[in-house]
Amino acid sequence: MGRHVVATVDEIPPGGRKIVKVERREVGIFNLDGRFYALKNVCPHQGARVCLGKVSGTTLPSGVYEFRYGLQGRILRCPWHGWEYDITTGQSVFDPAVRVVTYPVIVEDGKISVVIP
Amino acid sequence: MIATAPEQRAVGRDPAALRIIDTDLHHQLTNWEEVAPFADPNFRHRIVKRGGPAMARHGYKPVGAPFGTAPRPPSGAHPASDPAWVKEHYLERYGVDLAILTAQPQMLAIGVQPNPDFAAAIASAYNDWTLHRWLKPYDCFKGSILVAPQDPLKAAAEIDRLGDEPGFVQVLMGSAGEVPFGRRHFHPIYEACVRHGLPLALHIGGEGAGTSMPPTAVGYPSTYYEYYVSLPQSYMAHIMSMITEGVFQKFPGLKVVLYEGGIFWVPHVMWRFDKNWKAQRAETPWVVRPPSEYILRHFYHTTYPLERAPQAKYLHQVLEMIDAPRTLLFSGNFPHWEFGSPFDMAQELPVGLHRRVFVESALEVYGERLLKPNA
Repeated sequence: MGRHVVATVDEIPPGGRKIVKVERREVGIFNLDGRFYALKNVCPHQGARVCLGKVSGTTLPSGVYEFRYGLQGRILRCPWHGWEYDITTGQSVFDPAVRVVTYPVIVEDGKISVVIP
Repeated sequence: MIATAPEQRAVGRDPAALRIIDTDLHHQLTNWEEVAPFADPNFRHRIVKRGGPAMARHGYKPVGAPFGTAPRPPSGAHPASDPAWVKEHYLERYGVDLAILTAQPQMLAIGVQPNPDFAAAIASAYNDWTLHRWLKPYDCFKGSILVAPQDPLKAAAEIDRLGDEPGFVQVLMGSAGEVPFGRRHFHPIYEACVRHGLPLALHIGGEGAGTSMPPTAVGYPSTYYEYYVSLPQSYMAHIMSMITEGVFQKFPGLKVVLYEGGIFWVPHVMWRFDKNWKAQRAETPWVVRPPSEYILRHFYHTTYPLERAPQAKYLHQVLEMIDAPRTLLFSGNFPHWEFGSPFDMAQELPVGLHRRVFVESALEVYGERLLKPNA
């Protein structure tokens, strides 16, 4: 429980990530255009280390036979079965109730902390 | 007793008085001279022939009695060739108040005849014959608009031509085709169905004939019963195609009735489909809900023939999985009772389901048209 310093801002450039260990769990710290997000490294599907997956975009809900690719850099794709998650919320793209656990992030004096409830 | 008295015709039927709605009666045209007045003059010489027009068939034929225990006229005539006889000896004998006509087996291969224009001409003539010989004189029969999907715009035009004719309650296509039915060039057919408030019915039987794909995904079986057992493969492929190609996003009012395919494969498709959609939906971003939701919302199944599970509890589980109180309709398949009596088969359903399956779900699928007079 509590706040843990896990990285410095310089360690994780925009588009980058760092996997850290906090209170016996792995957490992925992602930098999206200067904002930092922390996701538990467990896929809610079958427990894969989801934060090792590819970061990309996805096709947005659209009309039939329309393709609108968006959210580039914001979608995390689980390496096991390809389920896609929004890094900013942890929610899967197909059902908002299916989500990766997320933690609050605090950036202060060039240091990144996550808060474990 | 069938309600054909003039005053009842005028106001339509009382749904509470209905006992059985049979969604699948294969009426039979045996004398093609009867079609002559309705045939396109440019195709009449090819349609009005002894034995009917030359049509591609498959080579699978059942051994044994094709009509089983179905009532048969002593004259030896085809049991479903004379509407007056069918009314008296099938409908009235079994307590069937309404029966939806679904054409003879030969016609279920209309969609895989090589010539799209000839196929459309046969379908049109057949539809008009059905209307004048069966529907206009008898309110107890309801019709299906048979269409040949090879030319989808012609098929849509046929639906527009007959879609407001009160005797027709659905559009009918054979489930055999050249490609899966979700493909975009078919969409005008579905648009026309919705425009007229008509469900789309698919019926197995043309698989392997004409320009059809082989009847199974791996090719041609050797025997009729192998052929018959494999036929739900067509429905699996069409369901997946129609959902992934966005048919129900474009036409949210479309209902699809699947004839003679059984039900036990439906949960498999629903959940395999959902599982893969979660990971791969990005290929079809317009599929915004889990595929099983579209299946449960848009597809209906029929009772003839139900799979024969070794324990009743297996059937009850599957009925629950497919939301059978909403999605299962009684089908008599008269006169093709090669797998037994449709009424015996329906008795395997839990009693609490009978009213839904025999009457109420059909009323929900087909709506007011079922209750109104044909002419």
